[in-house]
Amino acid sequence: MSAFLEVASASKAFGGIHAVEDMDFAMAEGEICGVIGPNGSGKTTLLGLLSGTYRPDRGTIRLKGRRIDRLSAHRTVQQGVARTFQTSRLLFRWPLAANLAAAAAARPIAQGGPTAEPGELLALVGLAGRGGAICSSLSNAEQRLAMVAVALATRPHLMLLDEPAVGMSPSEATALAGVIRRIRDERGATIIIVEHNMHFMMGLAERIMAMNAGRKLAEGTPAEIRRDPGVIAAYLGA
Amino acid sequence: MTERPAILRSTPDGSAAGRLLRRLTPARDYIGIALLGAGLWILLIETNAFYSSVLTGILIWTIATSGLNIIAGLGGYPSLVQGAFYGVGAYGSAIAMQWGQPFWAAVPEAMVAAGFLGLVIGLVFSRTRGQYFAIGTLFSGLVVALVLNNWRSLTHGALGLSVDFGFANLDQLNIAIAAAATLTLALFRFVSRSRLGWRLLTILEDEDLAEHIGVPTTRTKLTAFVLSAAIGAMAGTLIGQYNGTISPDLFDYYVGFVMFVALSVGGAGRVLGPLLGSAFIVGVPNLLNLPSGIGLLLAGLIFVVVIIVLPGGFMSAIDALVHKLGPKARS
Repeated sequence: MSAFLEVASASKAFGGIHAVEDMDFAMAEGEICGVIGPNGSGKTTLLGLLSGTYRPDRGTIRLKGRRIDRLSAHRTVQQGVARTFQTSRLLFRWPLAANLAAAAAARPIAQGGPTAEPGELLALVGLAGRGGAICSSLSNAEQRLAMVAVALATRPHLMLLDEPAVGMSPSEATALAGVIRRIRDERGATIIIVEHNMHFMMGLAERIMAMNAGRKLAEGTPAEIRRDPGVIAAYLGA
Repeated sequence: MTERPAILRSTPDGSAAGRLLRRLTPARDYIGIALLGAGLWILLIETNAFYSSVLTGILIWTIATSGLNIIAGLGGYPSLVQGAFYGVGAYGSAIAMQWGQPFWAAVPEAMVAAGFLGLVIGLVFSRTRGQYFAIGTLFSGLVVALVLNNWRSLTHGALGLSVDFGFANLDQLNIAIAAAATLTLALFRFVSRSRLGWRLLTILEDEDLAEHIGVPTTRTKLTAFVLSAAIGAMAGTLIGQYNGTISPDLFDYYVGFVMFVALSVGGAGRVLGPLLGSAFIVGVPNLLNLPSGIGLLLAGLIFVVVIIVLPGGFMSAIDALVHKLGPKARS
């Protein structure tokens, strides 16, 4: 029985820098997994490898048994992988509803998966009624949520969220955690979250993977990770 | 602002009136383009030879810049090589006719040749963006100009070629020019609201994001570039027919740059931007009968002023005017 997502010795170097080296991990369908690590530990590069932004130099990535590591980003999207970005990225001069429509159109409905009704998606992320707003006029927190809605509009099986709570107030972050849980529960998506905010992660992720210098440092439940001496050392620089 | 495809007009308001209005919009636009084309044709045949020649130049440039409008206006890629495709169209059709092809076959052949050249240039430079793409395409235009000047056995170098006339009379040519300009404007209108069009608009906004919401950006850009090239070549076939002779100086490397200027002045991404821009960049210097150097200087001056005062080109000024006159007018 193959896992939903299987990453085997995935490696990526930029110039001489090994951004991700020999990453191995697997995920079950419907899991919420957090990725933590100091700056430059390779978290975003890992998301880039999973989403087709970069191709691994070595190793394989399989989604539901199918290799996705040689696909360009738009083909990876068509396989059901969507990502968000660290900085807010939207089609800023377009209305939010048009962003959703463009994302929904890019993946034919015939390929299956949950529906992508714009009103439904906006309600899910808490932006009901904001579809007519031009994206550049949205607040930072709204843009973060809008980016999640746009990713959802591609009807992903696997959602990759790169620091989704960045710049959010604690109450906004709590609301976002609720949204992420509902995406898993109601839409059946498997979710990987890269986040610096440990508090945000601890309440949300069922499993956490800690990275350092491009490698996996530790993996376990949030409580286990918090006690792991290697993780503590990497964070405190001991 | 750019001409927006239907997808951008989707609003949460799904009222019957709103749906009906949206359904009528394309018909209204196409009827408008057809009427405009008919009007231009009447102007072409009813005015004296001088005005008619100026208008012919404007219309042929409108075709070439409408082609450019697809890759540059919708996709935001500043291609400076459109003049070369224009030249390939002129030379390609003239040479095909010398080899015994009839005009109706020579036109698509020249367009395919330019499309192929567009594919090659596109494959080389589609990985570059912004100023690097501009420099790369400008350089490609220079290469084509050098070939036209130096492949003497085929092009007769700077002496140029005489072009066989493919029509029965001048009236037919006038109809062909007016019809080609009209069809090209209609084609641009169609493309801008098609899947290719909105995909290009996502690339214009944020190419990396577009790729990550599933838009095949490389293929989209190449398709647009090839289409731009083929339309540029169609304009070239007509200038050959109208002039009767062609020479490399008509298609020098800066012509593609001036076409880009015309598009920007008129309004990039807008259906009528190429017509307005060509009227200013080609029409005004010709009407004033300026020597070509002075004409270019004037074009440059118009460009600088328009880009500073009206970054969206003349079409944005018309939008503002229409908006002032009545809220019910087109958005």
